[in-house]
Amino acid sequence: MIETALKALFILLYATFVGFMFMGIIRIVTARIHRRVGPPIYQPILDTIKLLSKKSNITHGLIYDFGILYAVGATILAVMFIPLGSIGVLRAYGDLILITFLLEIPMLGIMFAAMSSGNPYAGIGAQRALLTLLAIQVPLGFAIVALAEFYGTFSTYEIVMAQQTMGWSIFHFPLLLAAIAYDLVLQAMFGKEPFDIMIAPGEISLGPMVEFGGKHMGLLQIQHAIALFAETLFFANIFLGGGVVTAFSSSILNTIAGLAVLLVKQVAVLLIATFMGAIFPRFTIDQAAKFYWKWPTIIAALGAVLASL
Amino acid sequence: MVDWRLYEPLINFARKRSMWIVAFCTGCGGIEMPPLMTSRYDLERFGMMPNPAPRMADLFLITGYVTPKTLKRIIITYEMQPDPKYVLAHGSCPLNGGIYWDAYNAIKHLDKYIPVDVAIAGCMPRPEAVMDGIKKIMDLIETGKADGWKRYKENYEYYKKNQDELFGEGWREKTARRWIPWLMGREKKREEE
Amino acid sequence: MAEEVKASWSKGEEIVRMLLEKAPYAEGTVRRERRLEFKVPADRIVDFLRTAKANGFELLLQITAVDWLKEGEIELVYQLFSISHGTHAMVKTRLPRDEARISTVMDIYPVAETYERDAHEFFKVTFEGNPKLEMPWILEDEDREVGVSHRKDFDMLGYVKRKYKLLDRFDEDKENYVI
Repeated sequence: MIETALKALFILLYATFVGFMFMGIIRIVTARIHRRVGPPIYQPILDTIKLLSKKSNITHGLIYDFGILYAVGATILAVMFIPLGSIGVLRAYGDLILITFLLEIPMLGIMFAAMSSGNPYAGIGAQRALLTLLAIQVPLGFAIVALAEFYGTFSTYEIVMAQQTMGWSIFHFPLLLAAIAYDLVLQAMFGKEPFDIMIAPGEISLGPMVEFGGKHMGLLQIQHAIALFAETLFFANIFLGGGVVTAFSSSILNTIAGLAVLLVKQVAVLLIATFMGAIFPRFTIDQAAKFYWKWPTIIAALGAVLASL
Repeated sequence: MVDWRLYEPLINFARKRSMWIVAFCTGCGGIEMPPLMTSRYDLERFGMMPNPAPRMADLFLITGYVTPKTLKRIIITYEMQPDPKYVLAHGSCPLNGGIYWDAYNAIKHLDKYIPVDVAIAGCMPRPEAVMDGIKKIMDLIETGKADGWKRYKENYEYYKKNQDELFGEGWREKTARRWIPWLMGREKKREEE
Repeated sequence: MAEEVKASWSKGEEIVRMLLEKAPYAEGTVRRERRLEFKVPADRIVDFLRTAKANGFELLLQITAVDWLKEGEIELVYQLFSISHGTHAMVKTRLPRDEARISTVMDIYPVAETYERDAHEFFKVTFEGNPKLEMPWILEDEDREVGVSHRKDFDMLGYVKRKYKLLDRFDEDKENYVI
């Protein structure tokens, strides 16, 4: 029992810290692409400390406060379900679908809070975010079905274990298609260009975030960090072979090596998303929905059909 | 409970190194912002970011002359920001009117209406001068001397008196309701048709 | 020099002649290349602009006003532009200062609504028939109540001193001031 609690605490701290580093990496890499120097890598941590130390002189009611906690809680729950190397707290049959679902819940929580603030920009942003959420469901579902068809299981842990003997998922052609579709979906889940019309800063003043300030925004930064960690971790697990290392005799060394392997894979996923975000302009919301319902859906559906053959 | 004074240096360091700017350019100095933000001078090195929402912003750059019409919006935006908030007046117009010293439509002393932490002279200040002002405000934050938000609370009567003298009593409501008769008139006309 | 340029643009002379045939009450000259000038009595301005629009002057660029204090007149300048002829045209008309009323040209050039509001706010010219003259424009309500205008007999410096409570450090003639 105590061991499980310690593991959960470790996962939480590790996810938060690495997530903040990921946010810093995104900002630095974007700055280097713009030929700027960029902020130090610990800049998001400073931002969060500053935001948490601000005096919140405004609230918009219970839902406004609750939506943020809801988002943070859902993200933490999702992180607990994803196997982190050999460390895992919660494990259930069918958690492939559960994690996919949990990774989208935070957006809903933010929507609740934003809608209850009554700001028109928040309303517009929430509508756009919900439409994006609707648009990514179809390719996401097909990609998950392709995985489940190929490996014959809905358990993330078993998929990771199967990849140790069969090779990484992306080296099988049907799953490569699914991975491409899932990577396009990740772009919207990270909230990066070209699918970031819901938080467009110039047009609708950050959309759902427009009313959050002080501690609410600080909690949202923490949530964003954990979500970045969880999403990249999930992708690395199901498509890039996870981080299971059995080379050393000591289990602690194995765990640390596994974490390191996972970290490299996560950073690779993150960098692809950052490069895409830095060089593309923004889709409008109807273009984004049409795009998701056309190309990723076709690719993922093809993958699912090939996987079931 | 926890004695938060213990963490004051850390918090001050975070406040100093992560100032988010309200993206509200009031005058001609707004054109100095693009070179400051982009690759030539790159303010993001210091963790500064333009931010469209006033709720999560710390630093308010008054870039250039301020008209009474803008000043109403500036006061409302300033009061919307959560509490440790800093104002950096930019150029000589907020100091004494600058070249608009005899204009009916530019206010002469900004610090009569909202507290100003650091003022940069010049018409208009080069990006280097702005960066010098930002360095100054960072030092003030670290030593705890950037206390404009406290002064605004303590001397609210003074600021309110000056604002009311310029705009008239109840200017917030009046400004908010200014267009209602015309909008209502249009509604009525549409109903008649 | 100016005479030579005026003489050299024969196309402008033709346009002026063509317009003046249809509107004999106006007088027109060629200022220089691509700048025509017409002087129209105030009561015929609607007729003249209608004629001009029918003869190729499609756009109204601006309506400005000039305050001639000594002559007691306000001069309105309608700047027209013609794409088919490729030329500007300044249509000038004069109104008495204390009774500055003129008919609106909104039905000819719809954009005139905005410029007429501008001229009404800053030079107190009343355009009869424009429904939006009293709508808020650039001036704030408190300025409008005091009667701020750019007419030359308005004491702008005194108003600025009163409004912003400036110390009386300026000389009135603006030639010699101390800040």
